[in-house]
Amino acid sequence: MRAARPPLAIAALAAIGVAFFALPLAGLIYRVSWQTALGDLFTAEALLALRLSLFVSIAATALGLLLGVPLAWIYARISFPGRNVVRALTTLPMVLPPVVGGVALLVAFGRRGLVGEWLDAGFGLRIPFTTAATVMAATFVSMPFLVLTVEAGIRSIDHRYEEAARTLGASQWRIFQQVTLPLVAPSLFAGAVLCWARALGEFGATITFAGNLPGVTQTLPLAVYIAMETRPEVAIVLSLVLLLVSLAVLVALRDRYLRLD
Amino acid sequence: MLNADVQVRLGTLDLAVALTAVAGEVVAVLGPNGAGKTTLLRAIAGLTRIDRGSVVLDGVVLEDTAARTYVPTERRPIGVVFQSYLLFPHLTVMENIAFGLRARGRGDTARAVARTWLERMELGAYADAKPSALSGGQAQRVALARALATDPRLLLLDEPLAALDASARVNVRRDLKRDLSQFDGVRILVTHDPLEAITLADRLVILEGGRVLQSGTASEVTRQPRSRYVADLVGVNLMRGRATGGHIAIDGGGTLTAMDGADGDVFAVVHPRNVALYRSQPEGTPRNVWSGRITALDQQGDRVRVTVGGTPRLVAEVTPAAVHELHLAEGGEIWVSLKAAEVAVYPA
Repeated sequence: MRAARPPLAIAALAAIGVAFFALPLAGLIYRVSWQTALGDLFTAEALLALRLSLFVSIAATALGLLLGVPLAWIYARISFPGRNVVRALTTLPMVLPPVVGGVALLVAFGRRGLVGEWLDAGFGLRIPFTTAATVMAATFVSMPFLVLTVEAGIRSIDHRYEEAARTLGASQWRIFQQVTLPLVAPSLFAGAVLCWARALGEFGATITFAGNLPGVTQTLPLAVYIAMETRPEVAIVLSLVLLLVSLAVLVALRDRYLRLD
Repeated sequence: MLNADVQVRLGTLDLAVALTAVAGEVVAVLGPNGAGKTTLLRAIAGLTRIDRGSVVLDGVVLEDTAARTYVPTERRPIGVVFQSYLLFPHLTVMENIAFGLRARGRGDTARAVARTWLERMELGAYADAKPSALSGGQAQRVALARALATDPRLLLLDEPLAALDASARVNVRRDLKRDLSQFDGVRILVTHDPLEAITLADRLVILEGGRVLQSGTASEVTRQPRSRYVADLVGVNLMRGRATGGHIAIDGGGTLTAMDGADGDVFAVVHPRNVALYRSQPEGTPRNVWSGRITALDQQGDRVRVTVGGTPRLVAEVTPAAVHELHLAEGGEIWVSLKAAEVAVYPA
């Protein structure tokens, strides 16, 4: 069978579309000064940011799993009034400008905030401009990806497996642990990777809520932004690192879990 | 002993069934798709809550809507074999069987008991295999072992052979009959396959439209069908009508003369091979003679079933040679003749 040949206009526009994405990436690779790349990557500030980003993104993913999986299970299995509203609320950060998320977090957890004031007065806890705030900002923007992916996964498994487990005497908790979670493992993995990648790239909410303190709240994207003004070659190498990580995530997920083809 | 009296409304289904089964007995609930068989099974298992009624097993009330009693599925002493077996795909065969034992707090002996079951089912070599490596028949036996490993008092089987292809079914049915005989609790089997019901069960319960139409041994049910469903299964003509002194006014038109002198609402059964066909009006001893148009000709094995759309409508069974000699064709006019002695009559 001969492949269909697209009309010229469509092919041309599609080619421009590809170029729009490919050119910036090509520019990035072209501008890397390969002789000094390793040295730039291992500067003290870059290493600090790299280490912090690893910690923050993994912590955000762990927090996302801890809170997001039960949430996904409830969305998929329990019908309650206002479920769609609650789901929309917890999905909002996917479409909300991250900087707005940062402002909202600050208003809630800042020293004068809704909860923050009480935390400060009662426990002497001050969240903003700490690594904890960085983790919270990353979790805020990334957890919805995990929740939605896992919810879809739970919905797609045959719930009669859970019924079979009930007839064998298993409690709801045992079924969740030993039947539902293992069956939903591919979605769990895909959701966790998406969540992690989004957390790694988080910028707007972080700089607003957590600030830009090297070693404490300055993650990779923030370091890239700052370095652009002082040492562009470092910014470019760090960007390349982020780019490669994102690319690896997409390729790995497409082949095994997202089934985009 | 199981005493179930369940009423469930679910979508278009209106189920109202009273079912009793004693230990050691295999009861087959037989009926067409949509009759409510699976819903009945789910209600007994507690997976579907009943609207009204009760389920009592060995004197223990599992559910009673009047007393607001409901024992959840996971605390009922039951075993269920599902239609597609539903073996957990992420667990080994061994762990599938051990699952119920662990869930019921017998984790310390779970593997040993599961091992015994595997040997009994002659599946010892598959202990560490995943269910996807099993054939349909093997999966069915693992499902049965998993259901029985926890020593239930009631075993429920939902279309246990439906997931198998025809070639595997014969052997698996034989094995299932043997395996079922080793379990001494109450066994209830749901199926739409009459052969499965007759070979595996001691007693049939015919369910149609959410109601029990008939129950009894296979020979009782087939000898005196009380529904079109059973009549079609057995392959006989079933008519309902009102009898007065040997004459039966058939519902929907026509009269039959029978030897049996029952009065009142009756069923009349005529076996197709006892129906004679003629090109022209026969003159002779048969008391029932009428004509009609042929509406269908179906070859079944070495016989041809001829549907004659007269009053009453009837199916006759003849040889292919007779079809040729009498020039039988759809739309053709034909005479039907039937001896009074060949019309079996019993009260409706």
